Amino acid sequence: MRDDELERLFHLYHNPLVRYLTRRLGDRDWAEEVAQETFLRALRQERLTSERSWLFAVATNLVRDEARKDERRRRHLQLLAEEERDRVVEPVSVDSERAREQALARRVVDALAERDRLALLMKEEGLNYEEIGEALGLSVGSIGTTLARARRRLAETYEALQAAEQGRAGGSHAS
Amino acid sequence: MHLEEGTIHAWLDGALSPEEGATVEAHVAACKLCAAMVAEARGFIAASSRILSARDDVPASVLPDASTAAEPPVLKPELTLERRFQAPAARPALMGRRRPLYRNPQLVAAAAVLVMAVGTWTVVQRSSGRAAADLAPAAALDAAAPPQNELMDSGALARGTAGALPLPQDASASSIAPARPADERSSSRAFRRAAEPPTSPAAPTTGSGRRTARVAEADASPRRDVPGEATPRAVAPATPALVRQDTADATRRMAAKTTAAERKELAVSPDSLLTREFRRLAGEIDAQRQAPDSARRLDQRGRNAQRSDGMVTGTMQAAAARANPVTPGACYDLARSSAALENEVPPRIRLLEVRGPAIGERLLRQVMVLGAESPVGEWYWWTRPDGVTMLVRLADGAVRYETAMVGIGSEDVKAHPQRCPETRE
Repeated sequence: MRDDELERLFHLYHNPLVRYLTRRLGDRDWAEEVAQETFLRALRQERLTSERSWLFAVATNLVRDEARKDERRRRHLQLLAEEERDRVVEPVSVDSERAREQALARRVVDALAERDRLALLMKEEGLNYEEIGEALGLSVGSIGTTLARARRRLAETYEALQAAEQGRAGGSHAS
Repeated sequence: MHLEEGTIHAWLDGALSPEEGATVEAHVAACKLCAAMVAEARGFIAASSRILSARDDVPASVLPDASTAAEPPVLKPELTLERRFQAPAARPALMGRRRPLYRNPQLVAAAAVLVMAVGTWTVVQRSSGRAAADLAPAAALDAAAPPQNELMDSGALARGTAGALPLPQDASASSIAPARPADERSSSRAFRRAAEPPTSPAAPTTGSGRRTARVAEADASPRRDVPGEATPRAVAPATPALVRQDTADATRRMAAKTTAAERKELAVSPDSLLTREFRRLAGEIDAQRQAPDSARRLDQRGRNAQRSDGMVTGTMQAAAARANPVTPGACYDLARSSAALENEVPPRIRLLEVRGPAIGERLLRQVMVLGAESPVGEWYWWTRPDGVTMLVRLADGAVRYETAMVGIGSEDVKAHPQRCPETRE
């Protein structure tokens, strides 16, 4: 692949790819690294027929590979532990409310099945059904069903967890 | 026969053919149950966008105007250079982590002004009057330029908070078909409204694309103090070198007093001071390229002495630019301007391997550095827009310790072969 071609890809897709990866991984720096590696791999390709789906598919695979590394896992777990600690000990304020909402959103998204989550995240980054199907190895006809299931579960689980938290908060105030 | 939920979502996402879409639309118009399902699906779509957006640790109030959001993100090399030195402190915080006080933009700006003031005072005390006069405008310019995150926040203040944004209005019953392509939809904040049972179908709403595109655009906001725009001040070849030396001394002293842990916690770390140093050097390179030959010869006379103390001169950086592209097996001297780098890399290195050509500035070219204590794979190089080849290192997920690589002529290497590492340890 020529430099100018890769540069065009980079300008077009770097931001959405990093955003997708950040939402997938919960770590902006990690996402940047994976995105960079993805573009390096694109560089070795002669030509990409479906560039956007190719980039997202490679990035997704890289995340899977990376997830096997113990150091990364420890780092991620450490982050989650910090977040949990913050969530528990922080006093109620606007910031903590937002942090709580973030943690809740993270839990809900992470609770989705892998395929549903990836399809949803890719759709949010503007990939069409054909591209999502190519990236995830699914038929185009099944993408609507996959997204419908993912969105429903996401919204319903979020609502349920939110209600449960509010119930706990109310109970603790009452006691 | 009613519509399947997947078909409804595909229709709302604009994934059906025109014929299929017309069929679905006609059915929805005639079937109350399916119309209710469509409304519910719109609520789920909006809710999904809202929840996914909540994962992003970017305050809604920093979004730039919608007029700028439509433009594709543009990578501005000078800005990315700046961000590298500020990272990770100036980057969006990792999601869910407590935001320390030093990430407050106002405090960061105040700290930057304070540090620059101290640095300027130090240089003025140690330099001649001419040297001080040369540095002061640069310091003033640096201090006047707000940090990146402050730019974003100041824009946000002018636009008000997200809560003030109007929620999307429900469309009339006749406008239940997707009004816009799915990728152009926005308004994920409709979730609060969508959580309520919709009384009538509204235009489908998805996507944080606009939101994040805006953030990307904000990232690319132009700054005044960038390398490409560095003012080519009148460069007297000897005096600026003295100023640079003093600035570097001050930086080293600060770096020496700061532990690794403290450097991570500082909003404006000693490393970030190097940004300004390089900005100034970049401007001087331009000036020297345009300088008459007499000035170049004068600068050449001081070159050897400056090399001995490790400072890189504009002429040397220009030589590095001429040595571009970097070739495997070549030998390079490093500018000794980063204490962290000096602890890990010998002053002269040989590049063992170069993988891939350059792309813009963000994609670095990986090199294997002989003699480095850090594991292979962490060292990279790139050529800045001004043509200077820089060796950089990834640390804590960010590019740090940018250092100019000064190409050594082949004659020098032949004359002193023992000074260039030959084998891998």
